[in-house]
Amino acid sequence: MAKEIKQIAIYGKGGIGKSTTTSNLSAALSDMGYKVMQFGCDPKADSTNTLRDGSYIPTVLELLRDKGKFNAHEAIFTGYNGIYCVEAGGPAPGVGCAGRGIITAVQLLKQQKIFEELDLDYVIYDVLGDVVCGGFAVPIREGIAQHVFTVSSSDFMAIYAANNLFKGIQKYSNSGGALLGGVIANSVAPDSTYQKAIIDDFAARTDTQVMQYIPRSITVTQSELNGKTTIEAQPDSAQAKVYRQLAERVGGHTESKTPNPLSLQDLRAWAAEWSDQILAIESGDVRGEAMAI
Amino acid sequence: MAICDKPIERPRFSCMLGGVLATTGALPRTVPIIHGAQGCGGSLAQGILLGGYYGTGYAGSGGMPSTNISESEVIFGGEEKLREEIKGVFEVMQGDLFVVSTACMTDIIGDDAKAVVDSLRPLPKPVIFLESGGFKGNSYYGYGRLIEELFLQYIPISTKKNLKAVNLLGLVPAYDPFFRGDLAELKRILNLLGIEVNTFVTSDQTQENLLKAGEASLNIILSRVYGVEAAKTIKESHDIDYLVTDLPIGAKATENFARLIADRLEISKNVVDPLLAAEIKNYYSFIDRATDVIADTDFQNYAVVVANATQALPYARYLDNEIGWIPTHIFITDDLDEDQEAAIRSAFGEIEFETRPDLVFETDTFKIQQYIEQNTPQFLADEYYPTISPAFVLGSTIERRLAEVLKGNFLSVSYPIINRIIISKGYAGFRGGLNLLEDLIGTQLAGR
Ligand SMILES: Nc1ncnc2c1ncn2[C@@H]1O[C@H](COP(=O)(O)OP(=O)(O)OP(=O)(O)O)[C@@H](O)[C@H]1O
Ligand code: SF4
Ligand SMILES: [Mg+2]
Repeated sequence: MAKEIKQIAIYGKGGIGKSTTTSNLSAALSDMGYKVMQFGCDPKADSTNTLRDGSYIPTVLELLRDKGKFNAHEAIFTGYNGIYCVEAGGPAPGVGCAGRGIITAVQLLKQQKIFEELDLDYVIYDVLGDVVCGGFAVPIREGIAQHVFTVSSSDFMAIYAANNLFKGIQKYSNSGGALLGGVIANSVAPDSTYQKAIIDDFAARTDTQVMQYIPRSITVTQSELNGKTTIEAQPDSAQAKVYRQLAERVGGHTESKTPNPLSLQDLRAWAAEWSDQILAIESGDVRGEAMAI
Repeated sequence: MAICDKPIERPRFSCMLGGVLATTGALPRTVPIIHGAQGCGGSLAQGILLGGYYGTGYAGSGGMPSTNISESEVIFGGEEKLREEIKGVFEVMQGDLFVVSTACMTDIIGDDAKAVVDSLRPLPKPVIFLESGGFKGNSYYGYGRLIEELFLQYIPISTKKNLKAVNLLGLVPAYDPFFRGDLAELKRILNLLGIEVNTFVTSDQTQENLLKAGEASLNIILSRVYGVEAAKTIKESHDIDYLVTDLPIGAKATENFARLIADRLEISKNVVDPLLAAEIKNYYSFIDRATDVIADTDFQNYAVVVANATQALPYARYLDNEIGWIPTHIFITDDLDEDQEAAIRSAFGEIEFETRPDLVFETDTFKIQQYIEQNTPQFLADEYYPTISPAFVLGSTIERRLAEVLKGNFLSVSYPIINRIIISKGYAGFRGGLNLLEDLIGTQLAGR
């Protein structure tokens, strides 16, 4: 019997750290002995850069456009520790339809049964920003990824995007779509009193879990400047340890769930509550609940 | 034939692009350029043929150039393909005017047709463009938008108005299957009164008619709903007044129509009266001879009219007011918004009927039949009932089935018409009224 390929989709607000986190996750899983493919679903085509010394690779859609015929092997490049790197690519900003591009790219690889041929253990999709249209929901639709993780900071806009993603997952959950594995908290300041608490509270309210708290760290920046993941560039750093721990949790993760997204109204009310609390914390005027009554 | 209990809706119009293409194909020496997938041009060419086999003409129907975009353009954008297509069209096709029309896909992905056309200017011939993705509306809407864009992008604004010139608008090529005959007859009548007429879409028209349309002092819209928005825009852009009226069929309606226009253009009664008197005399001299067979044949019928918002009321009015039939039902088959429905209701209210018919807005063919069956005692298990008999159905070719159910006769007058070819025949005006009478009696005599 063919082994089951674990397919994971990583979503999150633009610039939140999806590609950084995904690449470190891929690298750590690969170090653990798994065969991993990282599939960038973003017209920028920069998802796998730090797995390949900062270099760009030809994208699926470029190859399709230029050659008319597409051979999946031409779009697969190996990076750090033999990780297979693929970039979907897409149109230049402001023209065409990036969503349709992602649908096409994912379908092309699936049709050519390349994941089975390469005997992969993991396929990790790094998907652009918000779920703005049907195309960006493709990895969470039936038969692609099984698990979705969302990268979020404690910023309201990041949480807003995560909540939107949860709505998308909920929508497809009855028709065999991917379910939510959990939240990967990124850029958490270790000394902040409330950042962790905000993410924890959001996860609790939406019926999900936090997979890992990743601190904001200069190590990540340094590694990126060398065109590498933290795992490759500074394998002994504390930050690398955090990513390895994340990989172990993802590796052990089996059951994803349908999340319980907040309505827009509830989300706003929730954010307003937190903003009051943060103000109070920062002005040193921490009122107890008893005082408010 | 068993009654199908799962209705399969049979369309009575196509998409916005369909109306734009049918109209473009009817304009003098005008070439459409479709920016869309190949299925658009292909299927819409077929759709145009359903208007009584309204064929290709100069560059319409099967002769329409198209960018035929495919997946690659959907993803990366199709502007480059459009640019190449326009250049290519200028190499192989001659025309006096070119109309770039986008389709659903290219609108969805946001291709900027205007920017492409503008970047290619100056072009050897005038080119206009419009966003006509099918999802924006139906073919009648497409007609109105094209007329609007013709004025905005092509027809020069003229401050000097010709007080005796009008544009006759509102009939949609192919989708109003008798548009050519109807417009030709109304033009003939207005010409008699000394009025110059631009129709844009009949075969006598040249680019000259388009280019001087801005000098007209009146836009006559022969539809209560289609072309009305265009007329409002043109009032703003070209300062041309407009008049919304019904398509006149038969002597009374046509006389009223002619007088309405003459009044509006301040043409003296002394001119109008003798001209109309001659027309009317001529009309009834033909009717006169037909009365023999009418009297012999028990010719009076109950009628059901199934047609679009432009034609349905005029046909019903003709049947009642001009030839004394009893229209029992008027079904309007296009998908109208509230305002449009209100416009039709109010026009309906103005028509005098001996017995008021039921006015029903219904797009679903099966439900039209169902409506009659469920609301007419004849189809209920009543012992004494008034019947719709003898019945006559005026509708599209789809209504042949309804005529069978009513055990009545049938004449195709509205889109789609595939059981006969329509060349120059029209039902509007004096001559059209006679044509219609001829066809209504002829149908009943056909079995002899
Ligand atoms: N934990 C972290 N510590 C320090 N810097 C980080 C961390 N996570 C991400 N960054 C930095 O933030 C920037 C954006 O990260 P990244 O490109 O991974 O985001 P993204 O979510 O993939 O963005 P996009 O939506 O544009 O694809 C990068 O410069 C990255 O190095
Ligand atoms: S509805 Fe859209 S896709 Fe279909 S024919 Fe019309 S323009 Fe083309
Ligand atoms: Mg990224």
